[in-house]
Amino acid sequence: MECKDIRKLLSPFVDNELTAHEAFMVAEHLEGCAPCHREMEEIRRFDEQLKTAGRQPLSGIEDLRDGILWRLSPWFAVRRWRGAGAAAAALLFLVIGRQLFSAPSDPEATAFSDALIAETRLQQSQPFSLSWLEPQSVQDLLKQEGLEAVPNLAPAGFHLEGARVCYPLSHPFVQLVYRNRSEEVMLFVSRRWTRSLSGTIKREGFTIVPLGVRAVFLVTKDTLVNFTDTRELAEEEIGALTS
Amino acid sequence: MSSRASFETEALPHLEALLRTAVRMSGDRARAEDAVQETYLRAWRSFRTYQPDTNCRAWLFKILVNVIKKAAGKKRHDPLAAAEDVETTPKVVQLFPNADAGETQDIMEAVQQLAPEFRDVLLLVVVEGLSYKDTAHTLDIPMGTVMSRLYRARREIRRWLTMPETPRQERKPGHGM
Repeated sequence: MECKDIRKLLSPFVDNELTAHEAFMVAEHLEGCAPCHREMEEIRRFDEQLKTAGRQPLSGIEDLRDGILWRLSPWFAVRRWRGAGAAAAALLFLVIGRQLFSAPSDPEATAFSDALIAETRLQQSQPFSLSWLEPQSVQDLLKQEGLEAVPNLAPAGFHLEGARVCYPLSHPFVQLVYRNRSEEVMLFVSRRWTRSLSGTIKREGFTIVPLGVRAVFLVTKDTLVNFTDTRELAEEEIGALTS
Repeated sequence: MSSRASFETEALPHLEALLRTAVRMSGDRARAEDAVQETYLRAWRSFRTYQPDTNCRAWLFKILVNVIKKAAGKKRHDPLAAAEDVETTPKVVQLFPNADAGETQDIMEAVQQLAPEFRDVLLLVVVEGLSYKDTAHTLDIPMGTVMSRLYRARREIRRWLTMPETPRQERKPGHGM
């Protein structure tokens, strides 16, 4: 092969992308051709420069890694939960499909509780939502809604998995999603929501509890094992954090 | 090993490589971070179909490029690649579309001035160490196109960097190749 043919193969030669036969031919040519050998050395030098310049460490990698893990955390948990309790989930699905409890007599309360249940189901059916808020945004939004911090339900075994903004009855609420190994609890928070429920509502397999102040509602399935403790803890937290 | 642990072990070590590539492809750190986050979210969603001991790095780069293309509203099909594979097509491709924008002896600045089609191949092969096959798959272009773009990008940047005394506007690098 002539030099002009060899030079077109130098790029894949330095990248180890030639066949053994081609590589042998190029190597043989390079042994006896100083200009082509120089060209190959220049390509290698260029590559080293580019690698060095292109792989300069970036700042903020740890923060980004933490952010990704934070956003993935509900998904990790959901997969674990799904794997562990597929049969239980199927049973719950059947239970949810039936209306086990009578509807509240107030049509407005019915509509509102239905809207909260719909948001809860939406979150459950789309756990891979990309709409989770960043941690700082959660703090900021909760302050706007009158809570000093994220309520801590860890003593009842629930940890915060994510938060998003939702719009039951077209009104903005911050929805906080807590989970333990197999159960889920939601808090819906909105200072600007002016109507409340007269008391606990049980509907379609869910329990909806107004928590002391009218703007926070706890929603969970009726089957929640540790319901009383969780509810009391949530009420205490909301009371302590309400500004 | 749980799927989460496996994901963290296999996929997260490539975070920095994905971010630096995303920064150079999108030209913006904030957009790049969004693209990388989206890449990992998509990767996790389909991680159950990922085969251990296959090339996780190439798989993530493929997702990243798709995310960036989608964000930029570009079509996946690359008409330039198709044109380059037709022997009779005149090979008039501008490697340095912004050659007048500034002169530099900095190798990364020179790379950033390359047309994206050439820049991306150079970054994936030389900086990130992807094979030609993986690069072709990642960018959705034929392997022959990877080879030709790489050859031309290397040659032109080396010329660009080793001829500082010549006015760049007169040299018109990359024209009519």
